Amino acid sequence: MKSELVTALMSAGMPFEPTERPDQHRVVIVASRGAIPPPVSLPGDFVWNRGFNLLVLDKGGSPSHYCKCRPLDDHLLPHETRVRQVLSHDPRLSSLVPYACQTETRRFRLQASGYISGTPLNTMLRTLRPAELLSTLSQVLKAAEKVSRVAADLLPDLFHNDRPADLARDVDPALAYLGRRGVASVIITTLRNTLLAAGALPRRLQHGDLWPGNVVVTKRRWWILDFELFGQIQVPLYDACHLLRTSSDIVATPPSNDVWVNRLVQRNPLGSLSRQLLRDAAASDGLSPEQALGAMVYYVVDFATRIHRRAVPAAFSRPFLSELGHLAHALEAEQVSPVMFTSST
Amino acid sequence: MRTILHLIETSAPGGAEKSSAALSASLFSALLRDFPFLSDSSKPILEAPIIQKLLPELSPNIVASVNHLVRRGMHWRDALEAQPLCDTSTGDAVARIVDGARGNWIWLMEVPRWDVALDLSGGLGTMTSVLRQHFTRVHYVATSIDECEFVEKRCSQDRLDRVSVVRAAVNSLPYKRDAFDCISVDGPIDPIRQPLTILRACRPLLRSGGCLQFATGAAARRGLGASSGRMAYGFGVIRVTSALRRAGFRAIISYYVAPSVTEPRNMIPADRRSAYAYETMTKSRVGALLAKSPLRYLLYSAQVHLAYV
Repeated sequence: MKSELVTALMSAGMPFEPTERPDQHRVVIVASRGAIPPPVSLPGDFVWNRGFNLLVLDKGGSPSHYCKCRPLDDHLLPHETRVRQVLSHDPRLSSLVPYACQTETRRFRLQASGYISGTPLNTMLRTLRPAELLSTLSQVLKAAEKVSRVAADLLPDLFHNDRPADLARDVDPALAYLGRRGVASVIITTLRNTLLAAGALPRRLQHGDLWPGNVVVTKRRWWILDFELFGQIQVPLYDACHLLRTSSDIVATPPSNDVWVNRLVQRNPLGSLSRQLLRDAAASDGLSPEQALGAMVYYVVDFATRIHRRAVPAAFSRPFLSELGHLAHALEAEQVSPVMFTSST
Repeated sequence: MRTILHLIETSAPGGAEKSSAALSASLFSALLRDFPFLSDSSKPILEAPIIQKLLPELSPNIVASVNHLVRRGMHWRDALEAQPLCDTSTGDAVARIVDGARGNWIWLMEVPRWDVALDLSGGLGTMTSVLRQHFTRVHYVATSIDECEFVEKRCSQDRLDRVSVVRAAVNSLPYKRDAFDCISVDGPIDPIRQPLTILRACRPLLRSGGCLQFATGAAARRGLGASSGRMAYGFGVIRVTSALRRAGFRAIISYYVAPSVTEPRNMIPADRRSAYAYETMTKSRVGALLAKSPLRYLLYSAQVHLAYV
């Protein structure tokens, strides 16, 4: 193995010998998604989180560490390491956020953490009955909320500013971008009006990529992983919406090609479960129904914009753009309205 | 300096202009020649149409079409994205081609010098681009004029210097002994075509301590291509290792690759404990069970071998 990688693993505290024979290597490359060092001419390349991960085995062959290797110009990894170091040291979160340390070589950054031997939530969602699913996702959201609350105390510098989040103003560049990409102005107007009606919302640090694959279940506890985007988004309900969308993609039987907004308003167990979770999350954040609706619209607009900005192939981004039209239509038809977030529904 | 050296025309009549059907037939006969056990009637025999399925989507026609656009001044990346290669289920197909993740095996290799590398993988020069990030100089060799022209343009547009593009046949490479620190043969076509020829041609070109990266496997990530790949290449670990030894390589480290040779997202050392650790991590019960057995090769449709001299 390249001595640069061995040096990095050793300085992260792993018992590697510089003279170890190649056939004694104890690393598995997983989730390799881009070269390190990165190839030239990156613009337009949508693989934004370049690099690969390593599963490191101990001398007995059992996984001992999990490492992320990223290029030196990757700014998300140091951010994640800092967040995890601060949060994992707090006794309130030490059983929710795993510790991580980081080292650098001439050409890459390596983040190492102990291997968590558990089950990623995405692999078990399909086996859950609706009531169990509701309870599980509700627990995950409570855990994420706890992380957000503690992080607000420990990492106050993550807040962009002290003012409440003005959804209409914050999302305006995204709407302008979507307008330039061909989203009809009538759709943009409907979405903007909903955001204006929501007004300003209290800021909450969001995980940013809270999908079931980033939640690991062990015998006694939950672990939340992947804090690369933590705090970047500060609009409440974002994590809840993302968790529901991605969970709904996993458990929908048969797999649904319908956009998430349409699935959300459907009168079936999955739809009502999703609405209930959103209601609970909004209530827990102290949001009014109008604010909650605005936060949900913000999520749909922001997510579609992010996907499109990554320059993914059109076939991949198209459903997210068309979801904006479905959402605008549902808002006009009042299928999606503040009433969805009142406890009587 | 970047120049296309038209050194030697391909030795096969018709060369790159062969139709894909004829190519499949010749691949199949070459496969039988190099792996005679496949013609044993008691063993499963690969039919030519299955070989066709194993070929990557990057047919000579696509390369020609991409090269045509680049010749007209389009950036190579835009020319690639203009091709109808998109896998709508994952949005990954374009990345599959341009993705330098194919070169992350380099981090598993150790050679005494990181000076000159040879890319025999052909295609669009992805491996050349990645090798150049680690080695001072890289030689790209292919038989097709379109591939050579495309890679020359790609390097020029990316301002990638110290890459030599050479048009030559694999069985008559224009290099002296001990010329390279590393040789990459990464692609589903060439290794099937003439594995022993390639291995024997590569061995003397490597300097002492140098490494040959030799990838075999299916391009498809699922479906018939992938399952055929598992059958065809899975039980090839021992045979490829044996071929590498016969060609004169001393230390050989093999890795299973998932999901496919063109998308090497995961590289697992080809041994029981590593396969078990990987399958346990991915929560595959069947996988964990198979990983412990000698049938573990059935789990993976591709392999990478690092062979040292």
